[in-house]
Amino acid sequence: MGKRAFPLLVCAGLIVGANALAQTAYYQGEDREHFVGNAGAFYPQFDMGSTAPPEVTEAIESLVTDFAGRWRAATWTTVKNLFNPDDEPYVLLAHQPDWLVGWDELNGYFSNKPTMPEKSIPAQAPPGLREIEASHYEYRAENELAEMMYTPDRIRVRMIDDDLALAIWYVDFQFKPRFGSAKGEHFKANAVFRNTADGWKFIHYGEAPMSAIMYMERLYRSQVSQEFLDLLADGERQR
Amino acid sequence: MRAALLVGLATVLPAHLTAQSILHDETSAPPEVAGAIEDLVLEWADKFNRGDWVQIQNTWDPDEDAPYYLGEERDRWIMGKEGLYSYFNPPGFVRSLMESVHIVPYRLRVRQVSDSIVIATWDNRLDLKVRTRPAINDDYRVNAVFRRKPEGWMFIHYAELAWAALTYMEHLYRKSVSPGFPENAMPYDRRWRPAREETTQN
Repeated sequence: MGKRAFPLLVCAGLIVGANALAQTAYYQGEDREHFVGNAGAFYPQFDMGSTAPPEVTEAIESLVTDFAGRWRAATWTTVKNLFNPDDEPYVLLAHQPDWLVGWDELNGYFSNKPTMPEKSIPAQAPPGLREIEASHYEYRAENELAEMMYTPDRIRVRMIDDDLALAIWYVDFQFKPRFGSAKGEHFKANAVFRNTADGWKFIHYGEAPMSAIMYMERLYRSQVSQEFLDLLADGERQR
Repeated sequence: MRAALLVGLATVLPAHLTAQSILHDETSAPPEVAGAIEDLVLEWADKFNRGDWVQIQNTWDPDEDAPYYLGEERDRWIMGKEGLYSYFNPPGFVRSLMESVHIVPYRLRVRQVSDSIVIATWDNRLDLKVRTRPAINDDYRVNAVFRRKPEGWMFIHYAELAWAALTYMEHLYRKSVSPGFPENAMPYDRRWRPAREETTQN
């Protein structure tokens, strides 16, 4: 074996080894998904990636990263500056029962003393909706956030019209009220953007947390041990 | 004649009441666009209520290559035509688990953001009965994007935005407060201090 072939062989060995390790991890993940995956795990998963032109995808990813970076205790009120001033903005945050609609409500919320929008809650709405909304604003006013952190993941972008793009992504959100323990949650987000003379801007943003019943189920699922998974896999192999 | 009028009224009035608009005051789209989206959202709910899942998929733009969908029970986005197809054509055993679904959309807001694109938000009140489980109810928010096609407006994006677990739990806890509380309860003396603190101060 020549001197040149030996390093090549070592490299190939390392790649094969790493690949085998990655495969093992993947199948362990699949196993967990198979037995304790989310409801609807029987649906195949499709991630087609971003379909917008690369320059648009890059611009939207950069905007979402800027948006995420502003979700800190000192700068979160500047999030509203990323919305197009010529559009009527819509925002729904994970803890809010109703949408913020228009600039008055957006400016009222993204301020150091958030104010509750004055809007009607129709009779069909669940009882207590308005009270919960009011208490949320009281809470924000009295119990300021010590810090928060918004980490977006797997941003997928597509064009929906000449100057309109739509994106979806996953969020890891961490926060700590000044009086209270630190908390973390995962949710999904979607947004619509308009290409303006000043670049891409948000015109619509909504957060989709996991519903309470699914969240509880996930807590239970997260406590399934590897030992029990092995037992299940053994049983399945024997059938 | 009077009897005929009464009978006529009796048949027309309930139909009128049930046909009450679900459009919210904050709708900014032109009335004809808002009306078309309202009809589509109601039609969509009706198809769900009848379990006509294949027809639900037909409310989506067939020319859209990258539709996105998020059901509140999902923790991942469904992407693409293939994903959408598999969601609306679930395995037989899933269909057999569903006994009854009743979705009532309300608080619909419609805004037009370009000639051919509309964004709408609304709430769904969902009653659901799954075999072997008691009936449950849930309220959640929805946002959706529609495209104008020669055959009318069609879905190109749909996401159910559930209440966060903490907000929902708080809602449940608030609902079970005893009637009259806290007005009928002995208020705490706010001047009270722990004994140790008093001792330290002395």
